[in-house]
Amino acid sequence: MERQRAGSPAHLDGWGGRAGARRLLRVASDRRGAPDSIVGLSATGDRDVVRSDATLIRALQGGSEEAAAELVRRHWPRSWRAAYAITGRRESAEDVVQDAFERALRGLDRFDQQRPFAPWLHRIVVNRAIDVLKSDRRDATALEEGMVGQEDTRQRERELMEALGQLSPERRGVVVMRYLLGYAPPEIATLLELEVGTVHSRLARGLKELRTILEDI
Amino acid sequence: MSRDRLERELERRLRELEPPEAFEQRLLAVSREWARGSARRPRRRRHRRAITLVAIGLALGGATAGAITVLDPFDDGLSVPAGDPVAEEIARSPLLVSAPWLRQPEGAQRIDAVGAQPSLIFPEGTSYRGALEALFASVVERGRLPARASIGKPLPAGVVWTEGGGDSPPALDLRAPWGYTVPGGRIRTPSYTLAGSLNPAQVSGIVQALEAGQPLGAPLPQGVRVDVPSLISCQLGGPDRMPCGLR
Repeated sequence: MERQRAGSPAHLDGWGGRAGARRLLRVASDRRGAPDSIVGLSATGDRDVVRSDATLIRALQGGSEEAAAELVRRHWPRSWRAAYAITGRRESAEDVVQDAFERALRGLDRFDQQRPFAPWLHRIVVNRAIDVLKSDRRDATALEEGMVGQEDTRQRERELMEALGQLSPERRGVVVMRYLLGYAPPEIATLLELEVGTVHSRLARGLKELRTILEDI
Repeated sequence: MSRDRLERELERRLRELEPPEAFEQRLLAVSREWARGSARRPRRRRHRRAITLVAIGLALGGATAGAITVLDPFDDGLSVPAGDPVAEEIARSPLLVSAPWLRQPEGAQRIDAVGAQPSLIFPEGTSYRGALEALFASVVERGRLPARASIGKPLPAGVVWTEGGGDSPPALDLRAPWGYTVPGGRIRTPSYTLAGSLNPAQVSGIVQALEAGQPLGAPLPQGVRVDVPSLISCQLGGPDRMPCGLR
């Protein structure tokens, strides 16, 4: 990320999550009309040139380690949250996310760069997390050993994971795509190759199960 | 609790989940390794020469190992570095050279667009998981089909796995061992999970073994788990099987 002033790089969670409020000053377009870069103000007042995912991917394919690092920093936190919410295990979430990034990087040559990168990555993450959860022979509803004793584990996280643990893998996946990753049901249907009706059904039943548990908390 | 309130509460709690910052360094190491490899990859292929491979040809009418076929020495599918003693000793199966579940340069092919391929026959009692693990390991480690399996007749169109029983041994389809999507019919590539304990070189080695035909020439490292897809009934062999409806 280019900066007008020296300072520690801002870590972006998606588009501008952790960097706080950003104001768009100018958008420069490449030949295809997709924004190539956006200039905005960070919370510290630094002017940043934020390159689009498509730009980063092109640079990464050309061997840019900096572009690869930025792409990872931009997308891994939400991917990890999704993987953790589905698998219920931090170690499994790390494995899923690392594996998903490997698959995404391998598939970049055939990835249509006119399409957004995040949904494609999220589909890989969610599908992999569901596969891992299904193949995990340990009790999927049990919390990891040591989680209760960890000082930094918040009670709310425990309650959430206990609640999610009651859902089937498929319902967890759809709930996470809707309420964490923010996709609408038709988008979820496309990404997970499901019928829209199936998505709505899983969401409705998932919420019903979650309400029963969360209302008691 | 109203639905709106429940949804807001759920969104808030999910976004509060705190990812481990230390994990970022591991991911960055993997991505940088990939970027470096991405820059090197075109030059590596230009310097690579194919060697002549002699492999077992197959009669798709039902016979097992038959004629010997000399492959095109400049076939790009599984070229190996000239002068690499480990790679030169490895016999490659022609079934892997252009396997639709391994080679997808133009994206995933449809199962109903791929010509008939032989099946892979396993010893009695082999499970679908066992068959996939054996295939994965042999391809990644040695670039060949599993030694304990033999070549058999093609399975019925759309069948991925037959459990076996009676006179029929367990058999795995070599068009789509990891199955295909329904109703899209897209052939899946091998599905596996790599533990975070693997270093970037090990990860790259496995990826290159599967995608560029460069087997490890060594056992799989610890921390590699083969994922077994959930096949649906139309993908399993059996007397009452109905074909999958593809669109």
